[in-house]
This record gives sequence, C-alpha cells and structure tokens, in this order.
Amino acid sequence: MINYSTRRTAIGAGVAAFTSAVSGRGGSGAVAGRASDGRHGTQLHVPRFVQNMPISPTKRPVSTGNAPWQVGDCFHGVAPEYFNRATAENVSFNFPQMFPEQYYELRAKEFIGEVIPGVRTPLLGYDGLFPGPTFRVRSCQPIVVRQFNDLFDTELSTHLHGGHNPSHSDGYPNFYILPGQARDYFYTNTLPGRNGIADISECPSTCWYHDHAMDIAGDTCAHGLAGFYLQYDDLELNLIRRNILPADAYDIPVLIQDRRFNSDGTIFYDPLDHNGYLGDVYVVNGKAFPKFHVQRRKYRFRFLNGCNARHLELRLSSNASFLGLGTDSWLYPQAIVRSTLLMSPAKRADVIIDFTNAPNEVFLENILEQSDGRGPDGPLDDRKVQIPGTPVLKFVVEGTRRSDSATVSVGAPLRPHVPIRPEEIVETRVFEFHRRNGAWQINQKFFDEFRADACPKLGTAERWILRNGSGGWWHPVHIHLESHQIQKIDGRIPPLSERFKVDTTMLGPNTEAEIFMRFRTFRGPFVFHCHNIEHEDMRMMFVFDPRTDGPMSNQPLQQYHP
Amino acid sequence: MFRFSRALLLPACLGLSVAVAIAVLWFQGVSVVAGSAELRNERRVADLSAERLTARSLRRSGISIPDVVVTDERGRSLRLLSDIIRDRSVCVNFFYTRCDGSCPGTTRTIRSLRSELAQHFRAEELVFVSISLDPVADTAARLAEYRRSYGITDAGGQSEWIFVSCAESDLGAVRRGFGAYDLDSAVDAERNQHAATVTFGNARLDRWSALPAAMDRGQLLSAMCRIMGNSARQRYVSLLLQRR
Repeated sequence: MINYSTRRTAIGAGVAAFTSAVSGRGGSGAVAGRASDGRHGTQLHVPRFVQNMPISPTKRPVSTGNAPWQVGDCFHGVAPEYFNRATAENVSFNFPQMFPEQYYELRAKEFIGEVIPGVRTPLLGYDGLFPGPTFRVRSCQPIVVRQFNDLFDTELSTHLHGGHNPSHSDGYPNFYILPGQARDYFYTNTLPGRNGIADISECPSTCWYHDHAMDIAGDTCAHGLAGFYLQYDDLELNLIRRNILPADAYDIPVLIQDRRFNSDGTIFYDPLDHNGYLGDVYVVNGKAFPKFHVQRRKYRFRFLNGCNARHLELRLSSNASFLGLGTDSWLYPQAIVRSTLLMSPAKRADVIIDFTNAPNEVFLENILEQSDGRGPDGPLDDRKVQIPGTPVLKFVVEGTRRSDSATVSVGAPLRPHVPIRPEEIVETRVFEFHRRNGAWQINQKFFDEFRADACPKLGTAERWILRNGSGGWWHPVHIHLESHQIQKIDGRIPPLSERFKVDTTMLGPNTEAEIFMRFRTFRGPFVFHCHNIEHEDMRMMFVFDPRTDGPMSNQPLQQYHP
Repeated sequence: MFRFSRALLLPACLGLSVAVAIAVLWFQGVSVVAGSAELRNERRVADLSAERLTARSLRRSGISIPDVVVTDERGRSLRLLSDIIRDRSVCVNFFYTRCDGSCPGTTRTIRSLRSELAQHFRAEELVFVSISLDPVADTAARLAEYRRSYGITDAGGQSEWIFVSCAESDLGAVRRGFGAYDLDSAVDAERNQHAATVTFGNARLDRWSALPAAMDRGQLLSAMCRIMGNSARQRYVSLLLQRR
C-alpha cells in the first residue's frame, strides 16, 4: 500500500497540483486530480516500429495429478460439476479423462508497464503481465485455475472465451472474484459428444480469457486483463508433428488493441462514455506499434481483436493473401485463402503468413474506417475501407528461404466440420436488439441477472434469429458455452470464413443473422451479449440456461454462484 | 413356487425401502444444501470488511464532469463538482419538470432507491442530483415545486437530493460528462428521447457506472451499492444476500 501511494504521488501529483491551481479549489477529491487530456487524442510522442513485439510466456501448472490445495476451499468455491462429473444434466461430460488433472494459480494484479518506450503506464494484468500468460492445454485434461484478485479496488469475473466450462467457471458477469479473494475455475477442456464418442469437430484451438465483471469490464479490459488460452488435441498435434502446421517459435498469438493515453502515461478511459472506446495507438501484445523479426518461412499467427469497440480489417502491405486456418476458436475443414481479415471485437483469425518470398518489410495494416464507437463507417457489406490502411505491426523479414517451413497450403484438410442439420432444430427464437432512452434492450427487455431468457433443452439444437434494430450501431454478438453456425446473414450465405463455427457473429446496422447452435455440455446460466464492451457494460446482455427439461423461456436461474 | 416368490419379495421390499430412504435423504440433502448456500453467503458477508477503502489504483478514469455553476431548488449557486459532488458518492439523472415521458417514473424510482440506500450509506456519504434538461423553464421555484410534488423529504437519515438547472450553454458539456447524450443528432435533439439512465459513482474512489432507471430495482440497488460503496461490506452485501 505504501508503495502504491508513493508511486501515485510520483505520477499523479503534478497533474493534481496543476488541476487544483486551475480550478482554484484544491483537495476536492479524486475527480479534480485526474488527467484526461487523452480525450482529445494521445499527446505523447509514440515512436513507431522500434520496440520488439513480445510473446507472452506459457503458463506453468503448480502441480499435476495432486492438488496443492483443497479444490473449492476458497471464498468463491468451485463448480458443483467438479465433484459431480457424470450426471444426466451434463449430457456429455461423462467423457473419459485421458490425462491427470492439472492445478494452476493466476493472480490479477496492478503493475506499471511500458507500453510506449520510456513511458510508465499503470496497467492491470493476469500475473502482472500484459497480455496475461498463455495457457497451452491438452484436450481431455481438465485443469483447475485458482484465480486470485489482488486488486484492492475492483471485483473481477474471468471469462474463458470459446471453451466449454461449467456456469460457475464461465465468467457469468456477477459470479465474481471479490477483491482479495479467490475462485477455483474448473476448465474442463472437454469435448461434447454422445455415448462416449467425442465430437472432435468442436475442439477449440484459439480461446482467450478476459475480465467480464458486470458494468466495469470496459475499464478492466482497457487496462490489460486479457490473455490467450490455446487448446491442443491429437488431431492438431498430428498436424504439427507432421510439419503441416507451424509450431513453437513459428506459432504466435497476437493480441491487437487500440488505446488512448494521457500525457502522464495513464491510459485514457472514460467509463461514462457508453458509445464504444476508440484509441489512436495500436498496442500489439502490450507494446505500441511494435515490430517482429521473422524468417523466410510460414508462420502461424493467432490474431485476436482485443479492442473494446474497434472493428479491424487486416491486410498485408505486400498485397499477399493470408492462408486462413480458422475463425474464432475453431480450425476450418480446409485451409482457405483470405485477402483481408474482418474482425469485430473478440473475434480471432487463425492464419498462416508465408514470408518465403516476402519483401524485407511487410506491414500488417488495418484498412477499416471507424469514426466513432458505434461501429465502422457504412453498413456491413459496404463498409468504408482505405488502402493503404493504418500500419499496426511491422514484420522485418530476414535471412534466406528456410527449407524446413511448414507445408500447409490451400485446401489442406484441418478439422472436420459437422454441420447442424435443419431437422435437428427443436426451437426457433428471435432476439431483436434495440436502443431505448440511452440504454440497450433485447426483445424490449432489460437484462435481468436472475431471469433465464432462453432455456434450451440439453442435447438439442436451436435456430436463433439475431436482429439488429438499433439504427446505425454495430453489435458483435458473442454467445458463451459452444460454437454456433451462421446459416444466413441478411438472407444470404455468409462469407466462407464465417461459414463454419464461430462464437461471435458480427451484426452491422440493421443486419439479421440466422444461426444454429447446439447445447450439449453444461447447464446454465450463461450469457450472450454484445462484445462492444461499452455496450456490454450498459448490459446489452441476455441469459440462456440449458437444462434437462425444455425448451422453455423466462425461467428462474438453475444455479447462482456470486 | 410360493417359497420362491416370497424369497423374491423380501429383498424387493428391502430394496424399495432402501430406495425410499435414499430418496428422502437426497431431498433433505438438497434442502440442506440450499440452506447451507444461504448460510454460507451470510458467513461470507461477515468476512467482508467494513473498513473504509483508502488505497486507490494508479489508473484513473477519464471522466469529464465539468465543474460548472448550477442553481438549485433553493436558489443557491453551487459548483457541480466542488460544492455538490465533492468526494462523495453520487447518483445523477437528467429530467425536466414538464416531462410526461420517462421522468416521472425515474424520479419515483430514485425516490425509493434513496430510501433503501439509507440502510447502506450514512447520509453524508451520498448525494443525489437531478439535472434539468430545460434550464430556462426550470427555475428554482419550479424545481422546488417539482421536488415538493413528489413528496421528497430529508426524513429518516436520507441523503441530500438536489434539483439543479445549469446555464443553457453548459448543458451540452454536462450531458456529455455524464454520458447522457446520443451521437445521432436527431435523437439527441429530441427531448423526449433523452437518456432515462441513472449515472452513479464514487468520486473519492473514482469509480463510475450508469444503468437504465427502468430496470429491475433490486438489481439496480445492488449495482449502485457495488459501484458507490466505500467499503467491501457496503459494496457486496447486497450481491451476496440478494434473493433470486
């Protein structure tokens, strides 16, 4: 604590004194001491492409097989499913565990980072890192992560985005980790299936974890609470062993965010601006406008749009295409060509960039124009782009061609896809998103943390119509628990990259999407919501609660784990 | 034959009674578990510190509430930040006295929230501010009449509730500061489309949020305690004890 106040004085005192002098009324509390010149854009000098892009360290377990502490013996406990693994409720979780359980500890902390060279920036980070450490886990090897909230001022709720996890451990917005407390997150790394046969088509590859605490996630995420969670199964490990997919030093998770800075180095974030947060500095893996040295070979990049509200459309300055491996958490059935990568907040693009014949300098640029937090300029299928765009990351290509490069090419088989057939659908639901008097509604209702709006029957599939009726706003709709399959966007078949499994569907102004989704693993409650985090913080959110009987609507929650 | 079925009957009876016993135990077990969840939450509440939080994060919010002079219903000229909000927790809404849309409902909601929040906050910890969107018409006398017509009193240890009008030229900045505006200029210009939200925060700890006034009141109260609270107890007691 002493340490904190000393540092605070060092960073904040000058600004506080300045503001007090101007207003002529010193000591009128926190509000007068703030520095928010970042509102009008970052005033600091931000050198471009001089820092190296770091790669977050792999998170190591505390132990494997034997728990270092009694699981569940902490303030927020553990999911009931941890002790009750083979029940009718969890239709497919009675799946054999193939590897011994692992135990991790993760601490959310405040720390001083250096996003811009020579500038000290207060950040929040898992394990004091921004981005947080990268989990690399094995399918069918459950893990328990004891997460500590070492922040003294803010409650947290961690969402593992793209995985199958019990409700208690899924980051339901008020299933918190209170300050100074801990929660045992049970990450099952399971696959849905039936009669003991796993549905490997659902195995996720590129998940991420981030804060999801109700009303305040815009602030906590803007300050750094996000990290990667990569899952591997036999299928993907075989692709790697056979050198079809690049691995290790050639498989790089890349978190892309936009931020605005105040001149004292703090991040500018206004929690009362509900339109959507936009920054003017691209921060990639925690560094402003970095560079990355690559060899002349194929690299796998897991791009993640970690912005609060900015949509990205990424392109290479060399005009080269990307080789698409997957969207969101899941690999495609076959590798496809993608000329640009359109990504709303929270979306992932798993791609290969082939630097074998690349020029010595290649920029990754964002070509999408976005003037305010509501969304990109123009409608979804006629959005405004500008080429060349804003360079985000510079690749410095070095050396001669590498003969041991991975062999993946267009059409290479990756992960089988099992389409949801129309005859599997047992229920159709329509969700219409509205803006009313400065707040968000779905089907004319405000979010209710105790009301399960949709209660699908476990083991079935449903058709959901997601309709954006809110004028000029964009809403990337993220559905927890399982992938969904987009059937149509505005009556048309979606682009190839969005045609298989996604966990976030982009709704442009007045867009209507028809999706199919299965509910196969855990009973709820779970949320689905707009992943523009400022909209999410204004509770543009709904609850679905899969259960053994159903389908139903508007029921009390089955369980509640604050 | 007789002996055979009797031999079957006995274990069958035994099995049935065991099954009944298990079922009874199971149902009791469930209710015991439900009861213990509530007990557990009460125990957890007892663990929450009632000590006033003092440590502040190094990060800061970029809020931009302007410290403009406003006139309250008693005709006093006060500065919005340095005289009214100070380092207190605050709940702000926008309204105008002639509004026949969402305002009457919002005012009634805040009136009941104010009386419920008196159980969680000492009167001097908190202030309510209602800011007029129609500052020319909403004179001090009119604001006083509006306050009176809703039967708003300071009885029962309730916190201050101030009705104010600012200079018309300051209104845009005040609305922007509290996030109560619309980027769509047509919607923004329409007074009856105005934000029916309450903005609340803790100025001392620099923690802010806003929610629709018409949402579930118990959940709104819980969120206000969590954001505006000065101690862990104040913040989270409603969360842990809230009934579904």
